[in-house]
Amino acid sequence: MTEPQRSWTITEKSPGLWLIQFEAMRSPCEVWLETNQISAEPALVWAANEAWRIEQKYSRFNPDSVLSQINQQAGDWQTVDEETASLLEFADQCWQLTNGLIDVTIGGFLSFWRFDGKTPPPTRNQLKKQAPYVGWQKVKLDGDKLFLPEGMRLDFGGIGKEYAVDSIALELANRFPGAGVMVNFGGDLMCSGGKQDGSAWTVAIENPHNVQQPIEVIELRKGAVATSGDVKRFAVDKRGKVLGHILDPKTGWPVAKGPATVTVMGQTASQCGLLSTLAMLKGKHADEFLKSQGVRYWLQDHAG
Amino acid sequence: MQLNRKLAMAVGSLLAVTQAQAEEWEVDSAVMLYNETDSMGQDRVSIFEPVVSITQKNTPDDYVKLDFVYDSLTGATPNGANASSQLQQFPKNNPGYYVKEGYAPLNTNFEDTRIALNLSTMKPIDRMSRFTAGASYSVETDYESVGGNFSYLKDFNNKQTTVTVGGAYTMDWVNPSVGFKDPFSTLGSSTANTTTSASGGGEKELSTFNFAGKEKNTLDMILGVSHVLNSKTLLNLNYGISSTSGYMTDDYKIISVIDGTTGFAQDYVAEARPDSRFKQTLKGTVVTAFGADSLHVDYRYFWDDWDVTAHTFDVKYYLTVGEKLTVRPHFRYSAQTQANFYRLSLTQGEALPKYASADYRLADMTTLTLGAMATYKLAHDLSLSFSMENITQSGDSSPAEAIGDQRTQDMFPTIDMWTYTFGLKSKF
Amino acid sequence: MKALLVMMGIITLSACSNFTPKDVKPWERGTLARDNMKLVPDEVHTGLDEHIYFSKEAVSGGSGVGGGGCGCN
Repeated sequence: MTEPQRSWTITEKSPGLWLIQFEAMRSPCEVWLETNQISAEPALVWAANEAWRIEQKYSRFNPDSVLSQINQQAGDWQTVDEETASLLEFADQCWQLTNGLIDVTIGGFLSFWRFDGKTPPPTRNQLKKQAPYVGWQKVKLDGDKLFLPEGMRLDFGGIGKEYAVDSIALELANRFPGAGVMVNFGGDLMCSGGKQDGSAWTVAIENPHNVQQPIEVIELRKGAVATSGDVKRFAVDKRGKVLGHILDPKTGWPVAKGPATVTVMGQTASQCGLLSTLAMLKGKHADEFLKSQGVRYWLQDHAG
Repeated sequence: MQLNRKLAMAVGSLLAVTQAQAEEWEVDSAVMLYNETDSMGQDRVSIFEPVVSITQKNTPDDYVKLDFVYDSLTGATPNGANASSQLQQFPKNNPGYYVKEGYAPLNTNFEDTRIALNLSTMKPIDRMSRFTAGASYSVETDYESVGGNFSYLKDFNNKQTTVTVGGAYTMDWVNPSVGFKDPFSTLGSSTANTTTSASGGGEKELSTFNFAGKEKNTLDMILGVSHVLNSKTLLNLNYGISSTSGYMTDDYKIISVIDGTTGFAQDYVAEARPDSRFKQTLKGTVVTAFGADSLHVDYRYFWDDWDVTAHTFDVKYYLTVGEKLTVRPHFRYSAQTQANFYRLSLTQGEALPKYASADYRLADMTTLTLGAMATYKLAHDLSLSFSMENITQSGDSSPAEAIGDQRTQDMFPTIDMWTYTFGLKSKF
Repeated sequence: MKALLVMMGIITLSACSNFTPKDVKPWERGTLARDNMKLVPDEVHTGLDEHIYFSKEAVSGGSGVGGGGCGCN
């Protein structure tokens, strides 16, 4: 594990329109802030630090992270901090609302996978043996008291990044009432308030097969967009078939016949991220599912 | 409901606990006009009472609030003596005012102004608990009060249940403009005012703010449980105690001392109340939704060591009429039993009780309220309201203990009160 | 008065589903979050009312701690 990058660049794109760029959560990150206040720069640096803080805290790769410590204490009752408790409560609600399709105990399966395009997938047998260590229903949560059964592992991969986007965007909107704010972490984004000249933020819905030619360019004043499915993160099975990185928590295996990517537009990145992940998990019923949710969405199938 | 909408609400609750919402200022103000008449047609007090409440709110659990109340009261108020078929004069041997035969005696030049300030705050402690703290101050020409309160609220059961434990301590000082009276001393007798305290009484004018008066301390405690029964209904149960010690006698009130046969007043004397009181209340509230409407039902049982018990029912229905208008009918009924030292009058020649008061508010009585309020939303951050209520208090007009002339008179004239309140609520 | 009680009885009966206990998840609390579902939706008006009852009856209290004293009773 290499030390994560801790550098950023701040540019004033036009008078009063500030942009910070940095790397976090394995994505290129951008935060735009349009204000004439001199505190714009420190606020943008705060945003970058906040992203790194959340990343560090809930990283499953960093053995010192709060998440790793929780996983190490599996088998005992433990007390978690306030932020973690609210994320766990949220995870509990997601699990209930989605009939178990969104499950943070998926960490038990994820440790068998490497989505690097070359490492082979785990065997069905390995996954079967692991199944008893996956399932949110086995976890007990009471306020800030958590009991994670021995051998189980939590993973916040499905909610952490979107949570960072939303909370940073909301905080900036709070600190700079009326200012334009856009937080974009590798395509998961939220904005509040258009730009001061009255124009909206422009968001390109990327075409996974041709980055130069977006599927669509939309205008957004207040709202969010998130994408699931990543053509850069996949595994390949023995017969050369590409397997996506979104696992079905019931089997530990990616859902077959799903779209390559799903992009959803809504109010918060968290909500969009959940819907797009769910759509991926619905496999060939993704389109049908999204249609029933009354949101704007874009589906891309696998090439070929 | 679509899954999408449910997820959005779950996200909302996640981001709300980690993220303070934009701070908001709320101004809630109202002016109440009040007047009161008795069944004999006498106008009693009228009140003009503007109220302003300013709240700086970060989240529903995180606010600071300042309330300001101005209360101006003028008119006539019952002096405690009974109606009679003879002309009555107060005091008896050196008349200051007269009351016509057949009318409930009122003290006509009653005037008081009250200013009250109340500062309160709620702050979260962690995601499952919070506290409130407050301080209050009020001043009148003859009364002053200082108080503080604190309560702790803890959520259980995924915030479906909330337990509240709270306490308040209030110190009051009274300094009646008529001076302190010796218990059962004759109205107008020169002994009045001799008990004024240290500051030397006589020199200071009664109308000034002179609070070297007599003290009264109150300790209140409350234990409450609030429970979300289902997605449409909220239950709340409170048990409260209130312990007061100190001076509770009302020096503006007198008692008729009647002849045991004729029932005519021979004398009017000062009242005397116990110097301690222990009150308990049990109150249950149900709030339930019917479509866009809501129904609020309260029941309170009250009892104390003065032997006053009371049942109070309160029903409000918030009827949504279109997007902007809400109409809220209100019904309240309260029935109380009398305090053990309540006397219609004292009888000449009989041994004096330790305590006695003829204050009708301590008698067997029912209070009925019928009212309605309309609230109109002019904009999403501005609403106007108007409320009109009628309150009727009635008791036993011909009680069994009435003697002679008292039997020919109305011993409890029904009181008819009207309130008109204009409200304005806005957010910034 | 009687008619009112009868009416209330009818409302109560017709609303059995309103009184069936159930676990309530955060996303089911939309109705409960409404202004007219607060314990006291119009505080200023209620405060004025309570002040009248406090000064006109021998009974008071039950709703919480706070507020101040008054020489009106």
